[in-house]
Amino acid sequence: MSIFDTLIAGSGLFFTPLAILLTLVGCLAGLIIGVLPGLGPLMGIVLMMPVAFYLPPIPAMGMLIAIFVGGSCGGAISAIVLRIPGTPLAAATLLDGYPMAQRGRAGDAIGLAVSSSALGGIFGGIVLIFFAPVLAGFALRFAPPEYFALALLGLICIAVVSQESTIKGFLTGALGLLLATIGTDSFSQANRFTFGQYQLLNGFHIVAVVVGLFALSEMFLQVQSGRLDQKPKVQKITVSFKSLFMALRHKTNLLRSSIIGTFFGALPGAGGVMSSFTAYAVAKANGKSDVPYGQGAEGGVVATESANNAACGGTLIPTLALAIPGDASSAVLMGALLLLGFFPGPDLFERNPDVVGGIFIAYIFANIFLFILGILLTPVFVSVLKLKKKFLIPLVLHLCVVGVFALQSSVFDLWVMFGFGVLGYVLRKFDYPLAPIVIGLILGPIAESNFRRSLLMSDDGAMVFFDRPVSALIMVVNVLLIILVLLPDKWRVWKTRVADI
Amino acid sequence: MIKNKRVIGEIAVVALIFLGVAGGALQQIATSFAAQNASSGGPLKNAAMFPQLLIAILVVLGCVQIGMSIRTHRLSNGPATGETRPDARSESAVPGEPPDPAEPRAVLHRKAIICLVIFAAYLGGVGILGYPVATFTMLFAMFFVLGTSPLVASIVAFLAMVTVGIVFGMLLNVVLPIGIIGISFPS
Repeated sequence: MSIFDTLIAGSGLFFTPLAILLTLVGCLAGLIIGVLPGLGPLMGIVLMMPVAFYLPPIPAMGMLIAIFVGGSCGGAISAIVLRIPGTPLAAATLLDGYPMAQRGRAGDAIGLAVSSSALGGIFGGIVLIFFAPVLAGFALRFAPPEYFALALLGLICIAVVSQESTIKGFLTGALGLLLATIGTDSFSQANRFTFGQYQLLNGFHIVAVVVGLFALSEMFLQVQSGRLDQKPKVQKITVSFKSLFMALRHKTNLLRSSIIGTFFGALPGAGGVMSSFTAYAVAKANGKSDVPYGQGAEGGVVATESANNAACGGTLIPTLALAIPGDASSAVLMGALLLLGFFPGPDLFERNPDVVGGIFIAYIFANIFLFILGILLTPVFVSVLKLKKKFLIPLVLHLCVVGVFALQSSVFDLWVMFGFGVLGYVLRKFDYPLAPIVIGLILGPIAESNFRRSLLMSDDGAMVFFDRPVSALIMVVNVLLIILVLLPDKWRVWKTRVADI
Repeated sequence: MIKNKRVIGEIAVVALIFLGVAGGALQQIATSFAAQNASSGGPLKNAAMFPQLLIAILVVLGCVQIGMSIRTHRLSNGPATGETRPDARSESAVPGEPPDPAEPRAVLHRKAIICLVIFAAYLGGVGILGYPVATFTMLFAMFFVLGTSPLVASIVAFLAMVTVGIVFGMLLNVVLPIGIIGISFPS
């Protein structure tokens, strides 16, 4: 099926009042959640995932993808207005966005951020639409050894580029994989690690785990970080649609940063933060601006925002085509797709092209809505910044409980959420990355089943992973990455530079 | 002797979480898996094959992490953070935001613990008291602990409880816990 056939098939699912409305609502919710310091697209997806469970596939995925897109841009608003990035994705945006606001150009800076985000996002979407089916077509020839090697690569990449320690990334990744083995084994039908609890026969519910790990732990960290009663003074800001033309004046920077963003997004583990800082560094090195970079250059905002939203499209490429999520947000999106009954990978492109097409269109429309809502509702988003944490924290906790309970009316799920909340809190206190746990949980069944299938089809044990050229190539990359991690201390400076690139 | 609290915490996390899970899993393989005849044999029958691989990784990396924590402590004789980069998350939950100067850290820690206890009590009580009563009580208590006046806390708690109850109970047809009192939202 050609790309255009896929899009036409998907348009039937997307162009319904419910799907369009929920994509719009998702974008709005993403922007609001992104604006609030400390929360981000992942938190938005996590909180709305239980609602998605009750919706048809495309409206559900449209809403969650729109939260991803909106949340990736929303953080720029607080970065520009308050010098506090709403999300780590916007950390590079404040370098020039805040100085622009200080010069009385807050409206221009937000307009540029929104326009660049939407344009970068659309660029990432176009690459997604054209490249994901090609990658999925190539992956059709994959057998269990390739899938196992790829799942391993996804996990190793996430651990290697973890902001925190690599060993800690590997530890949490292995923990996630082990947790994924809980429940009935699909090969032998043996009950594994269920401790006689019937609720564990299907393992932990992924939503309960994710809400606990990310949302619950974040709320208790928010209490500890204080400023519960703080209401920042923010100026009245209006933004014009003309900011689109302002962004288009930086067309070279826009295109270059979008390419960087899409590329880093597609690399498992790299993601939006790395792409925005890289795009900023490249723009600064090449930029000719009246205002120097770091003092309010428009090019700085354009580079970072177009890159981090283009990364959203990029990260969906391996997620949809290979079932290898690029970061925690796309892992949760992949989990949602699994819960809705669709398994990402080449089979999805073969058997459900309408769903794939619907997701592509939803992604593009999410970026269009981002531009419209971002420009029209900036005063609303700025006023959201006045919301005090003492109100926000209990309300988010309340949503967590009702959302998780709604999954299968299970109090057991609530305790699972609580347990993982405490685990997430402790691990974050000691600088352990949480993303590898979720990715391990989602990739676990894929990795194990393909590992055992590979051994079943093998005559010479584990050599099956090195007998086939593609599998062998990926395994060699895996081994090289592990060697990179185990390099001695004297190489550490070099290692850090490699990871920073 | 190690006196640094951070290093002790680092070691405790590895020992209790990662090595603890690995130990628990090994115990299960030796007992429950063996009883089901699923701890040996080929890839089809051996349900313990993949978990055993992961347990080995957890044990080896856990020991490496403990060694790194002790080594870093000895080298710097200061707070050990493994090979954590300086830009990793520290005290503030919000990137780029310094700790709150208005409230001492001890007070904020106490508030976090009280909120955690309220939340756990809510999870334990929601099945007994039902969604409306338990949720209102939890929200009111948490708003109050975080510094909201009782009047505002009760109004916001009531509105939030009703709004979320309507969205989930009536729009999404979720049966929220009724409890022994028997009050709930019609679905």
